[in-house]
Amino acid sequence: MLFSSLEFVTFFCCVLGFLFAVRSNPVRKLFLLAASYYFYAYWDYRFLSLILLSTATDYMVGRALGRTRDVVKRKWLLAASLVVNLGLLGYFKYCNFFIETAAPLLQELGLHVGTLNIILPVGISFYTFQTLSYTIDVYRRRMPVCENPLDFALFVAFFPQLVAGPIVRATHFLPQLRQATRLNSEDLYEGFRRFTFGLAKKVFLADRLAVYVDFVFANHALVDTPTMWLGVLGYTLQIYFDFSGYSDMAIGVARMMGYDLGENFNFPYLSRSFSEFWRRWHISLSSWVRDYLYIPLGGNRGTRLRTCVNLLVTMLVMGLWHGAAWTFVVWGGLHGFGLVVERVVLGREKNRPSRTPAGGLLGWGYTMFITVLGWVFFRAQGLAEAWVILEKLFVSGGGISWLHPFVIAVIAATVVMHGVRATARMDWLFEKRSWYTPAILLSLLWLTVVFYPTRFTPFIYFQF
Amino acid sequence: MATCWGGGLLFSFLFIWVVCSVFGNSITPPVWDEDLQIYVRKSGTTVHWRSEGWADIPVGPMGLDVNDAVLLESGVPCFALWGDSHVDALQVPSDERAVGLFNSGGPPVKVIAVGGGGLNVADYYFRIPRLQRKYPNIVGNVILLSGMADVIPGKTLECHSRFLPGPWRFEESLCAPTRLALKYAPLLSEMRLGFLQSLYSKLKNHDFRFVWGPETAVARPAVVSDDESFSYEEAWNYLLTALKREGRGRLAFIYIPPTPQPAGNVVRIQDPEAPLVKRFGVACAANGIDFVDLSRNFQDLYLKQGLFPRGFFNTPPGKGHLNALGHRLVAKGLQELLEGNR
Repeated sequence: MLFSSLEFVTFFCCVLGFLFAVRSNPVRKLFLLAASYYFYAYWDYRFLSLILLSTATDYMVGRALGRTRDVVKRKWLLAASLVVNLGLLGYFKYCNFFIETAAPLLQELGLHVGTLNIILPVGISFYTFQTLSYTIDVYRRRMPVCENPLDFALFVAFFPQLVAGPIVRATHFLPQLRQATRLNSEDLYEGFRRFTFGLAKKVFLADRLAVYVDFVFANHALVDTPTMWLGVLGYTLQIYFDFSGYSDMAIGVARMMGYDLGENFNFPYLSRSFSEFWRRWHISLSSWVRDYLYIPLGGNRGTRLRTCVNLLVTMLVMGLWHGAAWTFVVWGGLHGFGLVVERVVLGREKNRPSRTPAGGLLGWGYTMFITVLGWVFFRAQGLAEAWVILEKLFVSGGGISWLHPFVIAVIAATVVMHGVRATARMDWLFEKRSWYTPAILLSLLWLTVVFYPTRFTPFIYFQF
Repeated sequence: MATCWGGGLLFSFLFIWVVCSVFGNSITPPVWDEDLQIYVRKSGTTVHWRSEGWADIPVGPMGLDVNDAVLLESGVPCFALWGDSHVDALQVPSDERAVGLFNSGGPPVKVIAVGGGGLNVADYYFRIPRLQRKYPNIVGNVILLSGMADVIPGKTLECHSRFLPGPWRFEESLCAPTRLALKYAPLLSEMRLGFLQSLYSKLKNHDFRFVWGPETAVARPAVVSDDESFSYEEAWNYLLTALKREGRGRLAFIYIPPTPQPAGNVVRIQDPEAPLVKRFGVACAANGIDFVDLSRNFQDLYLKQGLFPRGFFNTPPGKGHLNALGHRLVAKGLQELLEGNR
């Protein structure tokens, strides 16, 4: 069920109606859990069993961790959780990738292994990381054990963030479930505001950009250089509007019900360095990877070389999290390379000299250039395709020309908006409570419903 | 705050009204035409088309482009070019349509366009005699085929007449606009509020699904199936004889292929229906009917100039309706066909 579908609007109105009518917190949570399971089963009820398995495992591991002080036993319990969660993720997401990668070697050994017919369960990467963060935090004694199975199940399956994040930490969300939240006009207004912005980003911008981007990437060998550039820049904006739009909708939906999911995006294309980019893009994932991978690897506590290796490993894993393909590994590697270059040239972020406008512009140009090139690998169907696209971008060539005015207008408008925000620090469009905010929100709603696309365009991050 | 929301609602409505007036397709009220026995666009209105291409088409009597209607009513001898939405050609300005380009060359016998979305040979069978009865200056008919499904019996399309086998026959079928459309379309058209109608039909036609997944998809039937119990030649002999009998003067066909078309890093040049087109051409020749296949011209446009006859600045190249280049090729086809009359 897509947030931008009429089915979801109907479903959510029913949920809100129930929450409005019922005051008992346990009953409301039970209803929210049932609604969340229905929300997931709407896509495919068969994979609900995976969520239930993951929930049961981590709930029981959490409780067992709370009861024992035995270090070895605690390690075994953590390992059990990691095996179950990462095992499911590994099987459903990476099994075919490893088979395909190992196939040439196996063939040399005289073994012929075919790929398996596996459907990737939607949201598995998100809820796996979410439940893991709980178990690891309990293991590290950074949070108390969740004794209430209803609270824990709802933390895992809460429908606004179930299929594509934000990846909510248990430390942030479980305390909210313990409090009896009442629907109030402030939350409804702010939630509606966020939802509307997200809806417009997804439906009016991302989905319309997708028509152009899909054509250009599907016919990358045929189009000319300017068209290829416009396609790549179009995708740069499409993925931002699509994913940040989804996050806004998720945050807005949760907020309307009185829950806070945290932030996931903060104008990432204004970043003047890669470290800044990852504090602004998919914040919930980058902070997860920082806390549960980069820091345990040693973070920046060792030598410069060790820090660079940690950065690279972290970003390669980050790439692989997005998808089981070498293109994602290269994408992660590019970002890792960007971070390493920054670290080597400029040193640790807190020791860097304050930026001059020229330095800021240079940093922004460098970050954006590699980011845009990175999206080529992210979007391409394979490494060979990515190389052809890069060649097309940098070696001027003829071919089909199609420069869509809408795409050009969206790029220009985004540049202007970002420029205004970066220089004047103006927030007029995103003003929370000014007299003209209703006019902006309702205008965006009109644009969305009137120009609603006729073709089905799922959120890009659903595939991860 | 209530005032802000009230004002916001008013502002947003004005905003979307302005946006849709510039960037949205307009609607035109349907009116009943006694002569053609169909619903047509109301005369005196203008079709503003934005979703594919960009054109403003003034509507004349019988829902025709006003230039064609004027020509028809002036009494000058002319051919009628029949066809589906490719002939209706809302995507290009009047003077860039095939008939506009053809007529601009000053031929003694002009051509007018009589098209409509989804029209097929069965529709033409019923409409040709009616139009020719009213306008004796129509000296012949040219039918533009944009796909072979239009001449294959048994391929029914909702709200359109049918050419059916066993026994061979034509059945007239028409969908009347809803009472709501008849009542409110003039007002919505007048006030440029077409977006409300489009919103209403989106909601009305939305297929709500609340049942648990996975969702199952239904495969579309093939356009041309092999298990038909009749021979195409037999069907076409009946069709061509019937069309010749019902229409006055010369009858001819022009075929435009769906290719060339970009299809995943290759440009598909070969028309998958080419063998059928060839057979139809032979059937036409056997019945003394002219048939012009523009497949080669369409292919050459891409192979020699790298250009596509379909697609616009706001739609993918090679896909959708004919653009100005495509119409130019059809105009050349008309010249080739009607040269003997010039």
